[in-house]
Amino acid sequence: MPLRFKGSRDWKPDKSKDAAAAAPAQEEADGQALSGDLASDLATFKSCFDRLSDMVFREIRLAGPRKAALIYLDGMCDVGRIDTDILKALLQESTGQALKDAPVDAMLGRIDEQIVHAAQTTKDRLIGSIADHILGGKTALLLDGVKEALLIGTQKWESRSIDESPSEPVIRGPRDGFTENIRTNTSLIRRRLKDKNVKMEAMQTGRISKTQIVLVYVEGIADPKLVDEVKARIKRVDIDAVLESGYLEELIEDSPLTIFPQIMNTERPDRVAGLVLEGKVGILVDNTPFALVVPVTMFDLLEASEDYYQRFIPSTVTRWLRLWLAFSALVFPSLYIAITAFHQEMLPTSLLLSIAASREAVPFPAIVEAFLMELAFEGLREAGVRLPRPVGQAVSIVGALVIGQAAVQAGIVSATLVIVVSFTGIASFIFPAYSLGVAVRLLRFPLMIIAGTMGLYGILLALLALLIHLAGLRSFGVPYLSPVSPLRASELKDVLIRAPWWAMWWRPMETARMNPNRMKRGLRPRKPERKG
Amino acid sequence: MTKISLYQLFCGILFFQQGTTIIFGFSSGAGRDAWICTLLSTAFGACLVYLFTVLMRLQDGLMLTEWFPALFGRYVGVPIAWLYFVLFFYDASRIIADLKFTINMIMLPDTPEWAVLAMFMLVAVYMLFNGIEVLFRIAGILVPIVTALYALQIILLLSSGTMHADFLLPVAGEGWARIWRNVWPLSVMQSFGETLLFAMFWPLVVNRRKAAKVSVSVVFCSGLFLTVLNLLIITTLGEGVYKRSIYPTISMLRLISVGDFIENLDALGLMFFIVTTFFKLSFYMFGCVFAFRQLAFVKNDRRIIVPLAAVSYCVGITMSNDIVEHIQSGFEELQYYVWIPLMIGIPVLLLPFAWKKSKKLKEGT
Repeated sequence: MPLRFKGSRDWKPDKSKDAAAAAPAQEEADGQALSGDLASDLATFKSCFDRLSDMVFREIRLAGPRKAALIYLDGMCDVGRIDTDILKALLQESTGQALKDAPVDAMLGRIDEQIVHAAQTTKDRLIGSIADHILGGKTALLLDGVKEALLIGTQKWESRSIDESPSEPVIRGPRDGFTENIRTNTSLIRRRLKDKNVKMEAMQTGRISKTQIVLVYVEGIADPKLVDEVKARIKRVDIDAVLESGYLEELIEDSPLTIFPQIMNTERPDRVAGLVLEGKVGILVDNTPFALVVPVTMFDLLEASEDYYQRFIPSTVTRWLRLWLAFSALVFPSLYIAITAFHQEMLPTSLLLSIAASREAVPFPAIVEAFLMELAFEGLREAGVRLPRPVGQAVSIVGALVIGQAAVQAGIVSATLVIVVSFTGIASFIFPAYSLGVAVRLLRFPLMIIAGTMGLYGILLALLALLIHLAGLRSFGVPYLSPVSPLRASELKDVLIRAPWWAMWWRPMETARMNPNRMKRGLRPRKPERKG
Repeated sequence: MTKISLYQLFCGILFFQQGTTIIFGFSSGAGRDAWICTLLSTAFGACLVYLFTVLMRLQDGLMLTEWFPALFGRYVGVPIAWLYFVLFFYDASRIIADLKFTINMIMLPDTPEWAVLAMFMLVAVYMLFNGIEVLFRIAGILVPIVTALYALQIILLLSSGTMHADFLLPVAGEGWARIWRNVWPLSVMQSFGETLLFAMFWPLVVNRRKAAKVSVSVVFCSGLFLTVLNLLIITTLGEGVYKRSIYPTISMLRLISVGDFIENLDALGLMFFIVTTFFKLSFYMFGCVFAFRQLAFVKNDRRIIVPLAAVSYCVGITMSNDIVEHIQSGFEELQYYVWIPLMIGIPVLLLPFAWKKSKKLKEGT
């Protein structure tokens, strides 16, 4: 059971302060309906959009003569389309037949059906919701004498083109990564999964940001209870803005106080598609290329999407290598400390002598030595992410010198330790999921302190405690270490090895219990019989 | 609701039965015939565990401390149930005392023992807070790993050429009396008799009929483990060293030497010991917590974890002055005055009552 701070579950916001912060002065106008009088409605909107320099009000005169107005947000709309498909159509038609003999009530319908060239239109009466749509990039058409507004989908804004995801590169596999535009992202998934059962449910969160969220899941595979739980947890989120999926991740996870990520984030649409097919739920958040996937196990986080594209034997070996290096990244420096400080007898004599010789000039105990170097390495890593491109070269040269040769020659650290640190450094980047890699890299430090005070005994107990912690974690109800614990022997085929595709008959039971059958049996290719 | 799978139950009992014996040696008093002794006591142990499972089936769905109030009523049953609480508590503290000597003697000679034990106890308390289900789960993870390391250890021993099969001869050369003296009561009670503790956890298992079968079969499995361990120790060390040594497993592992590179693997042996001991301690502590919760009507058992662990830490650290005294009390007084009456006497007495009651219930329906 996760630790909880007192009261963390039932924390209640102070309502009076909250409302004041979130609502603009025009709150009472939001609930009102349109009056039908264009001049007064425009005045309402103008006061509502007071001091919004990017808001455009365009008044026109139609046949009748009837006054009309367009309201849109410059920069969120395709102005070219407003010109040609709405304005031009309306103004030319004002001399035509469609509107001439139409009664007032039917005019908006006629415009919608016969005049405006747009794929997406809706009608609305409430000022508040019309304003929201305008802020979302739609164009509103108000007509004098009509108590309804036509909302035309003209959204368009500048966005980055589809690039290769920089955080999860592959050698073999698709190169497209998510972008900041949620519509592009859903289309990237939709292009992979074209079935009607692949649902994309839209939600919205954030009082000010009004961020769009799309849940992706396959109906018939994903457990409906899981989908409901995800929705309920997202609905619970009531925050001013969700600027990145990281906000949401921290707000909906099971155990908020653990270092391990219980939700996967990925930039790869193929990864989301693959996981959604296993009965998981993808959460796409607007304005970020990082999608979330729930629930995940630790082994999902240790798998790269490429494992499924390469042939199964190399993929299996890669997985072993990854498990081994992941473990080394955690314990290697602490083993060095424990052995050099407490258990020298465990090493073969010749190795012990060479380590002792290299440590001879070093003034620090092993733990201080290791801490110095590990901290320097972590610092270099963080600086490498943050630094402006032009200085990159300088930092890498200085880093290589400081962490390498110079430190040894100056007698600050031993050469053996440099090897240990650099091996650990390499190993700590083997994690396909960056978030899990961060957790392991951080856990290395407490482990080093324990190794420095209690030796191997301390390391063993710390690892036991870590195992207990992991075995107790859950991600949306799914045990974090499944299928290893609780054991489901048949599913180890996708954990300890990567079974060939023709043998992966079943989806993981933990998430796809409803519909576990993935393929037809007997797909294993056979040697064709020779003829004649 | 906590549910424990049969595989997890198997792993849990296996670790529990290996417990501390993995390092102190099993029926080492029988010298070179210890392996015969182990085989015999496995057979008796299986009978004993079978008896426990029969009782469990007769008292379906109740845990050990609920058996007595259910059969004998409140005034007789509850005091007997408290006896078991005390037994589990004492055994948990005894394990802490085992650790107190072992870790300091073998691994960390300069570290103060209170610190060594405190760290162990902290991890155990963390375990208790995480719940019994997690304990069984990590047993399920660790059993394959430990088994693999155990196999590795056998391969390394074989390849370092320190084993002498003739150390086993003559078989039963000192007569069967010596073997028998070690089988009864010591070896049967040690680990196998202690399995009575699992009567506290059986109600949590998914399938109780199969749980009974699994619990008996795990006795044979761990008997096999111990027999192999005994054979290894005897053939590497010989009777003399085995009988005298307090930590024969460690002495044996120190002899491993493959190509002058893999040497001094006592850390590996100690790793087994720490893991299995951790499980044994945690199971006993869970037994205490469950018993206390039920007998003292505590609603939230998270509140009693820390006090129970603290008291058992203090009891364990002050229990005995040196390892010889500690082992002596375990082999002599404890056997006759505590373990035999509580682990064999009362269960055997209980059998007719339980049988009668379940018959009555059946007739009633």
